[in-house]
Amino acid sequence: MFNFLKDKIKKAVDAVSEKLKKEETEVEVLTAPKEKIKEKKKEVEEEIKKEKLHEEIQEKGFFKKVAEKVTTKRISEEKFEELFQPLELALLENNVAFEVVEKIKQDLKQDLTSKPLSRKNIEEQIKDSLKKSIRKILNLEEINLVGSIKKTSKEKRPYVIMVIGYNGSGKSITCAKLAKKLKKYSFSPLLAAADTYRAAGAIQLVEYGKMIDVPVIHNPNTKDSCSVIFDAIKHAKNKEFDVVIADTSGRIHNNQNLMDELKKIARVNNPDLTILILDSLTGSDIVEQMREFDNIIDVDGIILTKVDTNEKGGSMLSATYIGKKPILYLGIGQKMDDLEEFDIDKFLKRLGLD
Amino acid sequence: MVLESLSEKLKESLRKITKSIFVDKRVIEDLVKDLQRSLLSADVDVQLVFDLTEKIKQRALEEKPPKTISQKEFLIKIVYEELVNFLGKEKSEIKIERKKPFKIMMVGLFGNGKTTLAQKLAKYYSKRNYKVATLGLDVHRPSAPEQLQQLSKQINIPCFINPEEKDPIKIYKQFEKEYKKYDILIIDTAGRDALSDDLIQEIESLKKEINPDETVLVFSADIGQDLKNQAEAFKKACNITSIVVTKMDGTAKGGGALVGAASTGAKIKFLGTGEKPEDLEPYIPERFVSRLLGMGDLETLLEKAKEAISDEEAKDLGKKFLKGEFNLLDLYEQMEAMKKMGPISKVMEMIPGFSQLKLPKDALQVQEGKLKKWRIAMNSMTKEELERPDEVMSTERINRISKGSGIQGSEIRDLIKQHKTVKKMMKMMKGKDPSKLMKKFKLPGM
Repeated sequence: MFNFLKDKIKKAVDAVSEKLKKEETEVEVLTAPKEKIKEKKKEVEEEIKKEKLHEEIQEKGFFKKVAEKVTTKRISEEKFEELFQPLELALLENNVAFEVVEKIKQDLKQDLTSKPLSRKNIEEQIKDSLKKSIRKILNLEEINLVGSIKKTSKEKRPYVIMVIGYNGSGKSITCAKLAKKLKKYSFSPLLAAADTYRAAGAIQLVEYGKMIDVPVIHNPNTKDSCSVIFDAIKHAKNKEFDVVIADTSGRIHNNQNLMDELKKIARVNNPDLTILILDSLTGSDIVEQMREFDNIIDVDGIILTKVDTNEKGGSMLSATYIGKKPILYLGIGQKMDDLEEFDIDKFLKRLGLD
Repeated sequence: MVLESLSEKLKESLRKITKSIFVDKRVIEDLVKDLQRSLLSADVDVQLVFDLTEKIKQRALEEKPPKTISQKEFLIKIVYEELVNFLGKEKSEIKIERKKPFKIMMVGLFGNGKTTLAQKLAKYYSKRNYKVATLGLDVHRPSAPEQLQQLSKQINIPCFINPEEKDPIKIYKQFEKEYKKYDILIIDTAGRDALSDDLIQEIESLKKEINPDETVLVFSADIGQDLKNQAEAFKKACNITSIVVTKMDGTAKGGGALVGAASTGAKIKFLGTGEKPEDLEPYIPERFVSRLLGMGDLETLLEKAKEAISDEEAKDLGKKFLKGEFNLLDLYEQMEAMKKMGPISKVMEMIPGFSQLKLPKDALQVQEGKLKKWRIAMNSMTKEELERPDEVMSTERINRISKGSGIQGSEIRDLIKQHKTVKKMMKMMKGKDPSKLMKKFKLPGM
């Protein structure tokens, strides 16, 4: 995964630093007084020939000055715009939404134009700023799911997790994966099949439940998601389950009625944690999805799915930047164990930015 | 709905042109830059964007406008033409051959709406008098066969599934004798990642065994820049012949999906526009572009209206309109027809001029809620009340209707008021040449 983005970022960074290097020598030639240019030319010639050693030594004091001027360079803001273009395109090409590209641009601009850059490792410096900017976007207060379930006292259990999202983003399978993960931490999870809209939606979760040996509460006789979750919580209380994971129907965030339903579900069942499932293949629309869902009910965290199919990885940046919500896990396959903890360092490494 | 934001941005770029006094190189370059930005943020593939904008720039700089139109109009025309060019010139349909059965196979990524589309296509073709059946070969996702079965049942279409069997080819062979009874067989397959070898092998062998007449790549409107790779891989594995873009009713700009698809060579045939079985529109590039540029889309609306109201009914209604006889029953009929056409918000967007009007979201929602109540209230009215509401309606009657239907009196009064307004409009239209009247309302294209 992310190989494409990695390549692109590398190419873009190379292009920028290449441009910058060229830029610097040119600028230097233009700004230096005529005599100095002559001197410098001489210097270069001498350096190549490496014969007239004594002259070199004679003029060394001056050369040093020139060298400094060439190797440290302040980029003007206009120059930056021009230089940034290849990187901007690379980011856009990789599903990073426009708003986020602007943000990264701003960060880099501040970083790269405020102080003189040394010529030696321009590439490193650009990479560093990029890394810093991405880290800033992704570095949000983490949610320690296992910890917060542990903290929840026996009387207050079950800990209720509500899973919401767009149609076909992978909610049901993620619920099952999450249940399996929690089981590993020796919690007893209970699944609530509240996808009452989709044909055979509840049966799907029941099947998953069988696979991972977790009981599923479902009621084929009702279309009311809210009551299914309510029943599940009640059941969990009686039978002392630790966690209830509620799968809801997929909904498109601009459908008022469905969003109202979601509000009602949240109000009645008062979940401890609301997780928004986002498909990592989503393009710029991920910004809208994140924003709208968070507007309607407070989203606590994100799980990105289908990351294994995703070469580009930009959606991750877009979603977290817009929502300012941490990524809990990544869905990385169709098997029940394919749920990976999100780790910023790992992500940066995959992008070749370590 | 469709491409709202994309068209917003395009409109803005075009507005900029109309505002500028001269069209010079700078204006063109600005336009090109704006276009690039809006297309990119609508998930259109980067390479494609540059190809397209380069072409527009070249034409705009080189070609001279004909004398009859201004330079500005010419520039807009170029943008329009190139966009149409880009999205495929002609409307293309799936040509159903009489071969018993004509096999249509769905392929695509996970969660992009294949199964739902199978139902929509089944409904679309059965409405056009084909005998249709569905076949569920999604053996990976639990309960996928059951989903297809339930969806098929909703629209009374036979469905072949075997939830026990895990080999799709065996399932296909199991029912082989049955297929001959149908004109069209719609085959649902499992969602897959086109870059994963196992799943691609499965679809390759399925393709070999089934030999479908039409292979449809299904993907969602919100897919981003990843689409290009996926679409190309699918094409390589099973030779895609059609494309359907789903979830066009979301906020997704859809640009990536559409243009990315165009780049793989297969034609877009349908757009999925909602969760109901009838939420499927044939894709017509020109209409799509005019919707993009805010010119409205009369043709789609007319076609929908045609489906909803039979010609006979339409004639009757027309006569009544002109005579100025328009009772509550007619209003009811109209509402019924509207319901068949889909939610009002969608219908409104298709009327030229309305798309620019930008009705607030809530206004339409209220309107729709009202319609529902009115219909309930009408069910509690006597024939007399329905036919001559303005003559017989009284407070007592309204109270009675209110009690009978559970609808508040004020709502019923609103309904009667609405009827009066419409009737008044009808009377105004009486004896006038409709085409002139249209001009008066400034509806373009009629």
